[in-house]
Amino acid sequence: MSKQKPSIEISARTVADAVDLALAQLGRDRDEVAIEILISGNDEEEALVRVSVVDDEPSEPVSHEDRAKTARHVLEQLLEHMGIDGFVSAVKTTAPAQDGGVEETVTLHVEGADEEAMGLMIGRRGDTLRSIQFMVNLLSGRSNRKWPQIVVDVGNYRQRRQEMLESMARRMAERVRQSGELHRFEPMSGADRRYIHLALRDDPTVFTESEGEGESRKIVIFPAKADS
Amino acid sequence: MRTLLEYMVHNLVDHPEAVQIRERVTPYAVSYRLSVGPTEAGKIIGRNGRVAKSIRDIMAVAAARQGKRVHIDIE
Repeated sequence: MSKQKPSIEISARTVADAVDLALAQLGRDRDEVAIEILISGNDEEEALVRVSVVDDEPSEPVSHEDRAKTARHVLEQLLEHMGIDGFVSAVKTTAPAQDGGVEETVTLHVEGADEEAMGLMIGRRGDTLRSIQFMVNLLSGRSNRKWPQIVVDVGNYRQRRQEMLESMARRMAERVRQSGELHRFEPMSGADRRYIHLALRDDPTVFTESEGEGESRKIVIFPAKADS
Repeated sequence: MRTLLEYMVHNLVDHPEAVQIRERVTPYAVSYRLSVGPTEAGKIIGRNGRVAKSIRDIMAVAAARQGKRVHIDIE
């Protein structure tokens, strides 16, 4: 990142004036530069300072666009080294955030003609896809943990999975409603469980809970307490 | 495959010069022995081994592309 470190010498009536001029010329803030006072100046002589940029990295955090670009580059590198021919496109979506603001999500979509390769990248129940997403985030935003996650998707897998889980949730809810007995799902990832919770959140005839820890955490659908 | 492993590991650690990768190729499998700088093992293992799992999953894809299995030892 540190290409060239600009440094200029400027004289003015006082040191403060000289520094201000130098910063204006460099287009930098005071905390991005080192200031050397060459001549402190007095009534006869003007002050002379040398102002050098110490940190050439932008002081403000990288923009969303930059992060998306970096993440995309990382993903393309991974694909290339994996021997997979795929095309990556970045899509930015916005959704209302819980705090009332707007939440931006960047999704990197991978498309490729080779079905087998796409399937390999998804892995069993999206396991490999999660690992790829984890790695992309790790390699693209190490210094910026505050940033929301970059989502990686292959051939629209995430959306298809979501639809599949939602319809399965509704089917199982129907069964619980009819039988009056709870249904316990197989262990699932947090993202998968979330789709099921959300799908049944507004269904008054059943309620859902997660039980178990870590890898074995799973959802249970209970019939609602009979109160009619 | 080796370049894939190098790409990930070199970018995860602060001292890529201390990374050592030994590769052993057989017709059906490739195995790697990976060692990093003395204080950096955590960076390629991660909490609950999450980073190591990612490395292995991604390497498994590359291996499968060549019809092989892969094994990675972290020292």
